[in-house]
Formats: sequence, structure tokens, C-alpha cells
Amino acid sequence: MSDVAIAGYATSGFAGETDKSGNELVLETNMAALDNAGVTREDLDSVMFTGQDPYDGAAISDGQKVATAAAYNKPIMRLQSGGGAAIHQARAKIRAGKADVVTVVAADSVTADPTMLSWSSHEALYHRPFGMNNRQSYGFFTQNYLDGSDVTREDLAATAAKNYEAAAENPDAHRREGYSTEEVLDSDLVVGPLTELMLEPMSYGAAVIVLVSEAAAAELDDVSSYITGTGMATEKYWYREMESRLRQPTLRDAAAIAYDEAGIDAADIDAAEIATYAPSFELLSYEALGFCDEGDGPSLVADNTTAIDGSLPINTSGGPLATSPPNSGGVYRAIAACQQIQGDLGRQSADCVLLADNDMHLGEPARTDALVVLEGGPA
Amino acid sequence: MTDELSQSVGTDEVHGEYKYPFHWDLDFSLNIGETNRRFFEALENKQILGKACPECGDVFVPPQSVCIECYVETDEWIEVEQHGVLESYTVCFFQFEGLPEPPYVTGVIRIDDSTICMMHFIEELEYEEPMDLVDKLNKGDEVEPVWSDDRDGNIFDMDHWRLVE
Ligand SMILES: [Zn+2]
Repeated sequence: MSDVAIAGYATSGFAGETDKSGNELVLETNMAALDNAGVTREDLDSVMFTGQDPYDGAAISDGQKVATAAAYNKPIMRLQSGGGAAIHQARAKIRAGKADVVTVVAADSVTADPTMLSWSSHEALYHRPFGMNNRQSYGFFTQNYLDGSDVTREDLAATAAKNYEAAAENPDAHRREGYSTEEVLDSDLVVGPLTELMLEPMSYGAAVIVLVSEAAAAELDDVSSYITGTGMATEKYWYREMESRLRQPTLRDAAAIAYDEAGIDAADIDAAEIATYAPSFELLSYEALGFCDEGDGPSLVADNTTAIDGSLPINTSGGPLATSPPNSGGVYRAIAACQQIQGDLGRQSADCVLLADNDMHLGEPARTDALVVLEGGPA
Repeated sequence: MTDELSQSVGTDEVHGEYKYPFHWDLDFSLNIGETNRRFFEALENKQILGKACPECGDVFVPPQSVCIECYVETDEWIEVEQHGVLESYTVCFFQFEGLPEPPYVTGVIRIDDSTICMMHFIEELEYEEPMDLVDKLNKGDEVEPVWSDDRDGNIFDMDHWRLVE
């Protein structure tokens, strides 16, 4: 079975506004990504499109972007579980011998109320009548975390501020103001203990990544990194014991599969990009991913371990609190992981970077987690 | 929610020079099925029903037609105690279409011995500052339903839940 490399990528960069159409964003970003990878439209075997109808403001929006994604007359597949899941599937296609060059394409250009959009995806009879949406679900999770541990709102704010410090150095990030812990605490309350700056913004832009087989990689000048392991896991939708959700079982399971496949453990990881839509998820992800013992999440922030210049930088891009395009977030996080391996993001080079993505922009219950282990050099 | 950060909460601004506003206005209706229908009918009589798994005995409130763990159909209807425990809760500070004026509290409630939780509004809480509401409740607090006088077989036959005195 051949392994899979990331030959190239491109992003438009992200902001709170765009004056471009989705098609324009896909066209310019896709052309740049193919160019960056050193492949042409003729080389391209298949396209994985990742997005959601509500966030595109149109049904079958991948169909409308066929031409701009260079997918005309090629197999195109749309995945709604996020960019990490799409990368997992693109890699599977290459490993199965069905393709040598596959792109993962995503764009965000449609403005709408994200709470309303996520509300529409929730269970209709028992959850939606109470306004269940992504933010409410983060509120439930975080309140339960604070009530059952010594973690404080200050710990949450310090985690957010850590991410904003990193984002300030990232030209592709959306929020680059470098908000302090105090500013995070003082921003408007949204749900429960969470303030506006403890929650992800709605970002606009596009991201494209080019995956190639080992054989195709050998024909190219260079590739940015290799995917050495992936894992995916999904959970029950209904609310059960919140305790078990705090353990983030899907992230844990996906990590176990990906680490095993890559032949690594948590200690081998130099940096990680994690889809953490509120600081509570980040702190608990440290535990779920094996970066610390249970209950020690906040200490990794307090002692700067996970800061941009720490020994295990997490979300050097600034993470979802700084940049959160719902369709292209996962693909963008994979790009940020590649940039760390190439020394183009963060303050130190990294050989092994973890990408942890999920579809949590729709809400926390029933989330699907996808993990990708990226390593520099030939696998 | 009026400062410049609130762009991530709502989308009030439309830039006519490069945006083309539109909206979806589609009517949907769901078939609720036998299991849900029976639950809602019972609410009209101020009863809360759950359904039990024949294999592991887990009780589901609201009722589910299948036990996720065992993957067998639930077969036994049980009237459960009108008593709940708060698994979690959150205070909403934003105005959401069709929902109460903020702040308001939504609870994740485990009713009787149910293995899953239900959602409802927690009311009758006194507070001075909206933020007080965050500290007003605790995980594990006991709650009870307050029935509406005007019941017609939906989730709001329980008007809200409140802390047990
Ligand atoms: Zn069972």
C-alpha cells in the first residue's frame, strides 16, 4: 500500500468579510494550490469537496463549483463532516489505488447567522424548541467542566489569549488583534461562562490541499509532508452523561487509531492544530490526545508549554478562536500543520504535527472527529 | 451584542455594494412516529413516559425506539417520576429568533433514571445581574416540571422546570 504526501496547498487567507463569490475564491485558491504542488488539471484524478448546504446558502453547492475546482469530468465527492474527514477519505482513495492526485477543496463566502444555521441541524422535537445550537452546546459542555473541576473562567480566558498571541503573527488569520486574558474576560457574555472572545468568529475565505500518491510524489520536485496516520470516530447524538462527553471519547478514539497507524505516541508530536471552538475544548483535548494527565490541561497553558514558543505549541495558527471558516476550517488547519513542518508558521520547526478536526461548528453532540498525523520528509 | 465583535453572532449588516441578500423560506413538517406521538399524548395528561431496553434495562426519556448500546428495539413503556437532575445548563445572553428574551436558562435534565437527558427551560430563578444566573445553578441540582394549564400534546405542555424547594 503506497503512502500519501501533501504535495501543495493554498489559502486565500481569512477575514470577517469577503467581497468575492464562492466560485471566485475556489478558482483562485485552487489554481494556486495546483501550481504550488506542481501538478496540472490533467494530473488531477479526483476532487473531495467539503462543505455544508446551510453554510453555502445553496444545496449541492459542490455541483456549482465543479468548473472552478477543475473537477469537470472527474469524480467529485462532497463530505459534510469537515476537512479532516475529507483528507482521511482522499488518502483512502489514493491508498486504494483509485487515484494518484486528489484535491480537498473548501470555501466560505456566504454570510448568515451561524447560530441559526447550526440550530437547523439539531434534533427537531426535543432540542430545537429550546434554541439548541452550536453555542448552546459549547455552553453546556463548558459549564459542566467548570462545575466539576477546579478550572476557572480565567483559565479559559488565558487559553484564548494564548491562541490570539499566536494568531497575531499569522498573516492568514482572521482575528489578529492579540487579545489579552483581560480583554477575553471583559468581552460580551454569550452563553454561560463563555464570552464573545472565547467563541469562534465566522471567517470567510478558501483553502485547498493537494494529496498525491508516493509514486506521484517521486515525480515532483518536493512535497511538504507525508500523512502517516489518520483516524476517525463518531458518537451518539443524544445528551447522556456530560461527564463522558468531557472525556471527548471521539477525539480519544480517533487519536488511538491515528497514532497506532503512524506508529507514534503523544510524546512524538511536536505541535498540533486542533479544532477547538471554545477554550474548554482545547484544555480537555490536551488530555484526550495524551499531552497531559487528567486535570492538568490548564497547567500546560499556565507554564507556556502550548504557547507559540513553548515545547508543544498548540494552534500556532491561532486556532478556531482566531480563524473559523465552517466549511474550510479543517483544510486550513491542515495547511497550518504543513506550514509548521516547512518552518513557515510558528517559531520552531516541527517534524511531526497533528491535525485534529471535527464538525463541531454545527454543535458538540454527535460530533465526528478526524485525526491526521503529518510528518516531514519521506515516510 | 452591539460592539464590533458581534459579527460572529449575527449578521445584521448587508453591504449592498457587494452582497446580494436572499433568504430561504421553506415549510417543512416531520413525521413524528409512534414513539414520539405516545410521549406527547401523555404530556397532555401530565404524565412523563419513557421506554426501556429489554436487554440492558436502560430507560430513555424522551423515549427512543432503539437502545443505542444493544441495538435492539425498546419495548416497554414506563411512567417515570416527575423529578429531574441537572446534568448541565447554560445561560443564554443572546436573542435568538423565536426564543425568550435573554437572559434565560436552558437545562440538560436527566429525568428519573433515564439514561439520556432532555432539554427544557429552567425558570423561577431570582437574580440581580444576568451573570448571577451562571452561579445560581449547579450540576446535580434537583428540578421538577411546572405544567402548563393549556396543554395540547407538545414539549411546552411542560411550561418550564424549576428547582425543587
Ligand atoms: Zn440496551
